[in-house]
Amino acid sequence: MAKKIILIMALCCVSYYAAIAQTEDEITVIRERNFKGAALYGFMNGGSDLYLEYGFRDLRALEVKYKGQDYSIEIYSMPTAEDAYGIYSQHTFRCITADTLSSYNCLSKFQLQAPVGEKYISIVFSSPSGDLQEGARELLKHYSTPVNITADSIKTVAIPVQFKEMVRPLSGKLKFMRGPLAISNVDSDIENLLKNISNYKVWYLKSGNQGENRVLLLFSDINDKVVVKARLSANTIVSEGKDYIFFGF
Amino acid sequence: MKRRDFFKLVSIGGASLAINPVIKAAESTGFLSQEEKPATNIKDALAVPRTKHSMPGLYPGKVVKCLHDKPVVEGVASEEAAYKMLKEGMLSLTNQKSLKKAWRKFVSPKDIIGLKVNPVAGKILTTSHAVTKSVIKQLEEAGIPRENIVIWDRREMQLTETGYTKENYPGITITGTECQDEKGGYYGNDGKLYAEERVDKNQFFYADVVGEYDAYTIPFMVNGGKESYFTKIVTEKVTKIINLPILKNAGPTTTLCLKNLAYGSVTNTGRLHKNLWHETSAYVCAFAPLRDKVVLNIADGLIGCFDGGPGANPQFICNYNMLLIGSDPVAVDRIGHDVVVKKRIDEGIQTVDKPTASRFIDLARELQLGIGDRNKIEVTEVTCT
Repeated sequence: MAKKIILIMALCCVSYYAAIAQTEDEITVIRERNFKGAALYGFMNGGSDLYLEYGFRDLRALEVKYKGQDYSIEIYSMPTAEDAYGIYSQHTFRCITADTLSSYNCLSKFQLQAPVGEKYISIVFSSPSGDLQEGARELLKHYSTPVNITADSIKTVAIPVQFKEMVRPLSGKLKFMRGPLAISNVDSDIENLLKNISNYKVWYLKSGNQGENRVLLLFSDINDKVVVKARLSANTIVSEGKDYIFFGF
Repeated sequence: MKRRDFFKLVSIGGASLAINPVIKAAESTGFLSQEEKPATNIKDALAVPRTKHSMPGLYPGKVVKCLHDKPVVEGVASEEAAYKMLKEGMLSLTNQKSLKKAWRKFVSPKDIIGLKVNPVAGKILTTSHAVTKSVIKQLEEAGIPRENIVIWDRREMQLTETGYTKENYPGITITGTECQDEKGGYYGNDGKLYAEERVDKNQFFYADVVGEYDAYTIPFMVNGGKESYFTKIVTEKVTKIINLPILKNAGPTTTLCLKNLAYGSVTNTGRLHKNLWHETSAYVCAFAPLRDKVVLNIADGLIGCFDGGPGANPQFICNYNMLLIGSDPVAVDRIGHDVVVKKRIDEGIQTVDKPTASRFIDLARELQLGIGDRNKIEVTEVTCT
């Protein structure tokens, strides 16, 4: 039995890497650009600030032809898997399909996005056809698995336990933020709540239904937690710990 | 628990909260901050006497909203529709029957006319070629020689990437401040950035914030320090500017006429985003090269966005199916801001418009660059089908 399992796993690995190799053969890179740190201003100017707030490290921007179709691929390296999920969560909205294949991803009409370990990957295509969407999935798989790194070794984002029981998919609804720009994009009331507070993390489940929004605030300094708690109505608090407050509205 | 109840009615930072927490209290981010700001040289700008061409131009507080039922076909803006919208809009704005006379209110064949486009978000969200080509066509019909027209933005590379090329616009000068050579290099043999030759070091926006950039970043900023130099495109090359921004958001605020002009015209902008976004958008436009040369604003809302801006994410791109036209950039920004924010509210991105999100409009109004009060803006709707 054990031998059979090992054999099946080996076959899976072989077919997985064979598929990636096959994909690679069919990709023609038309253009590749790289931007490090604040040089992101050269790629997207003012939009960079949001990425920099999440600690952006570098961007690999590719224009490729794959199976005869054009794709724009952006691979952002972030400091942590949380940050990759965070910047991803800022860009997901009304996904057609989301969180397929046991990972976080969001397919919209012209774009497939996913956080993969410490990277945020965006693949834009020109038409909402099924062929292009499938091509984007194959490209995502290809660029998710760099040379010499196995899929298993990629760190996945740790979603806080408070959200684990929430209705899937989480992509498009669960946001992660650690700075004022990101927060102002999602909910300016939270921005007010955290006024003059620094070094925090915010997980925000935007339900869209009143009473079903959930926010987890994590603090580096427990004094900050005390300050913020005083700003909240007590009956909104679902639970709290030494360094966190979980509340809903 | 209702949203409005989740805060206690307490004072944060000494500010009493209003009943509705959404519009209460002072905010803390660069986009929304009203905190004490670094010193600038805005007084230098105000010391330069205004001219008859100074903002808000010929039609203060007047905005024409040109609507079309389907100006975008299969994701591409229609030049035919754009031409028609622009024509009707120009006639309405100027109250003329002749299109030539309408355009000649703003420009003459002696002018070198700069079309300030916005290609920063790439191919999928640039000032549409349909609008730009329509402007050029109507300028030519008004007797403006093609060689007197300049398409410009801050980055020549982005103009090329978005199709603003000699091939697509034969006979028209296409130029940017930041540029590369054929090999993709930013530096000449003398070790200087090519862009350095293209900035005017006698005219600058000073702000008491230091720009510090590494070697990767400096080609996109041109210089560090506390000065942001104006491009020679606006100080020397062109005599009139027609501003062609896009209807789009930037986080909770919007980037339209003023932002397109300000951030497109000066160097060393990295330092100006975080805490001086509103000030920069307004103040830079108060300097003579922009204040006295921008004669017309045509906000392209054929294809725009309601979130994810100022970059471009396909799921946030939408067709506003409109052009907003006016000589007054502040009035156009106010009306455009309301259009974008309404869309954001409709889409569930935000619940209300925060007054602080359009503070750049208030600042520009205080600098007498235009009319920012909704009640004082005359909006004329023109529908084209």
